[in-house]
Amino acid sequence: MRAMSGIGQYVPLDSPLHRLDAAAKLGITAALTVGLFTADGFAGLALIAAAVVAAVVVSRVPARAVTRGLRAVGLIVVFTVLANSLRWAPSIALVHLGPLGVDAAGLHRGLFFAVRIVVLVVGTTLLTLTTSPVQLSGGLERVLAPLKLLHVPVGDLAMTLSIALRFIPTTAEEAEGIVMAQQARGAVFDKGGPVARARAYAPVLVPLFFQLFRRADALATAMEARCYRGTEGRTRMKEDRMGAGDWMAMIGIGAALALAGWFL
Amino acid sequence: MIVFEDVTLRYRPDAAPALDGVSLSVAPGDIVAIVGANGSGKSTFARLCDGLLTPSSGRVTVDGLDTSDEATIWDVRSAVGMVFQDPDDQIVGTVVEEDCAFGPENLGLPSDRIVERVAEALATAGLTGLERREPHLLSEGQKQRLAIAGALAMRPRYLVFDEPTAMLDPAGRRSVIAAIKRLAREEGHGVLIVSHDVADVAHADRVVALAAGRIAFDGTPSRLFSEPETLHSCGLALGEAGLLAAELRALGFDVPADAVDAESVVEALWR
Amino acid sequence: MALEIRSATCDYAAGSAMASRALEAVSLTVECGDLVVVLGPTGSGKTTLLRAAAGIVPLTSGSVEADGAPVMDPASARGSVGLLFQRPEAQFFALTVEDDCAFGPRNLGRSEADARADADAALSSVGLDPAEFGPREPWSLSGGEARRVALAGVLAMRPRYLLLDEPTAGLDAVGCDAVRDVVDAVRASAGVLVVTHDPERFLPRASAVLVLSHGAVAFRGTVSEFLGALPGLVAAGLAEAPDVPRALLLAAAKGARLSGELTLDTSAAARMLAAACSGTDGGAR
Repeated sequence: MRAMSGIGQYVPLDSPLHRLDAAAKLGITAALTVGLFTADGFAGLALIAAAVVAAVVVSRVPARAVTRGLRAVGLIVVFTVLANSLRWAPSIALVHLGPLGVDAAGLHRGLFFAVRIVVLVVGTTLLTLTTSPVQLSGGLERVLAPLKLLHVPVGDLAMTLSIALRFIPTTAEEAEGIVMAQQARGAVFDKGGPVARARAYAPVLVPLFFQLFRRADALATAMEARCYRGTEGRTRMKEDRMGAGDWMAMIGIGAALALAGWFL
Repeated sequence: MIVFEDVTLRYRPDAAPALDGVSLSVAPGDIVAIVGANGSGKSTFARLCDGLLTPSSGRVTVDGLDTSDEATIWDVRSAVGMVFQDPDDQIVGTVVEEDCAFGPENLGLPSDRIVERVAEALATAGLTGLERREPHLLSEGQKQRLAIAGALAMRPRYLVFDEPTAMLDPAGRRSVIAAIKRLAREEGHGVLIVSHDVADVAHADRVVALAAGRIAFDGTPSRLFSEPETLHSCGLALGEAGLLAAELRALGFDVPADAVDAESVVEALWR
Repeated sequence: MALEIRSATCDYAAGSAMASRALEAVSLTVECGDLVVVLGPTGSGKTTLLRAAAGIVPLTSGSVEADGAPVMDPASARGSVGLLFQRPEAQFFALTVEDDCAFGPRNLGRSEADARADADAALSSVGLDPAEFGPREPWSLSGGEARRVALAGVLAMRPRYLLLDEPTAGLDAVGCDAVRDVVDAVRASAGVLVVTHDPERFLPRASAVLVLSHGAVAFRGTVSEFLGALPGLVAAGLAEAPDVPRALLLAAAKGARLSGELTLDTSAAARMLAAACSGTDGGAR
């Protein structure tokens, strides 16, 4: 639980990347994603990867905070490489492992997909590492503003997202506390088959949900007491308006990333 | 003034009233304490002050505005700041200044005025310098003072505290009580504090004890502290410093009945 | 026969960038009948000490043994150390009080009949009638009752060592007194280690005091040794003085000459203050 709670959690620092408008960062992240999926070769990927690495350096976020996100997808990356490169009893292969063989073209493809996943994860993690949930929800609200014409409650959705992010550490601590308390009363969580294990977690989930509902109720009361009445008429302390610098950064970097993918 | 006029509240029509025919008022600059055992109706009382609950019969008004009136409810809520027991239940923002700005943002203030109010509220609560800190890295006392700052940033005329020190260690408790006293005495806020800790109650101008939804005692802290049975029936106990004061009074020293912490006992002896 | 904590050192997130030392070479012995009070500010490692002593957080080095059996070894020491968490009533999960209390004994492999008997006996020992409270929903209880039910849930395992993390936090006076009475009764058959911000309630009956600071032992001794060391501990910011010695220290700071040692006893302290006050011009008689 403790390990999970740290992934992608905002690291409050003062870097150019932190100061960049959240909407611009969302735009760049979108361009990054497009670039990654349109890139046909390693050259394109390498260029985008280099841009992402440069961004990590500029953000001054500790490397560990970035790589923690990667650990979560490690298994997917390994699986991607293996699934693409291993062949059953192939006629031609780079390496033979018993009846299995490593296929050169498959390995190439697997590595390509793997690098794509890694760069994507690092890029998106960097977004949440350098943007506070409040800024992020504000940015999302402005990016999605056109949907308001279709009566989508964009503001409330953005607020819900930001509160959910704010409560991840609290909930993780709570879950950890309950697990330990039940362990102290002799509960065993890691024995038996899947059914036994699932059953063992019931004494954790019941109080956890109970606490979550109680907290949600208390929080709603507290928000109402602080005059929250939906996002209509609400202002922001940091008047997040895209400055000239934000626009230039977004258009410049975004276009470069997308073009890199397109042409390389 | 916050005025309760013969207020009765039932959570369900057939249930016993949580609050039964209560009348009371709180003026700016006053500290009024509401005490009572578990289930005596004191948290209900706090929630009635800014229309989070509305009376089944009777009336609650804040500076003349009825809390049952939907048209003015937001004026009432910006005039009455609430601070609850568990700071984790009321902190919305992910860094200190963002949380503090939540109320003024909801009021639709322009950003330069929000910045001004946040700086002022954080200074009053003693949190200057921690603007960019994440709430879960604050001490419990600091978290509770952040909750106070969040309420203050709306520039309320009244502050209602629901058991504000129950989760704190002695140092945190003292820092929060000192902040509350300063708000009433220096800034002129009307303060209503719901608690079962004598240290929270001792500085009040007036204590109202609730029992089964009715007012069982209404008077000064000194009078309450010199009535052991009333004190006990409200779920309050004097604590060691209060007992020490009583011993000193028995020895003929003039230690006031509202001296219930070590500081005020010694202060009374060496004036 | 004792709970032996030997140079327990504990790191959180060991090996990562966020690693921090929560406990630094803490040693302590708790015997049956003992009441050891652990003091220290928030974040000083008190909670970690209890969790390490109960074997639910691993030690980086050192050891904890209950009657010679390592507490980390579930086969040998299970159930011998009971730990009550902070705000334990947030952890109820069963539909009835009795069922929640029987959770521990069932996990220890006791028969259903035995588990229920243990639960009922534990409820009686915290002053709640099992026939009345057993069938109730845990969420319907008052604050003081809920805390005692949670305590019964730990006592039902019949632990030989009972560890309590802030057992009186958030309770009103009546609830606090009830918890203190349970602790007194439990000492007949168990050793108790209590972490508390409410030292007035537990110190007068304690057999030893431990003060933690930044995870390390800042003081360890009897209550009278603690009172002797208190001026130094307070001056160094390592401990909060309980109310009565706090009043004496404040008086001394105002120049009062006190005839006698610091005490927790209100009558003795009142006599000391009275004598000192009469001897100066500042008297308010």
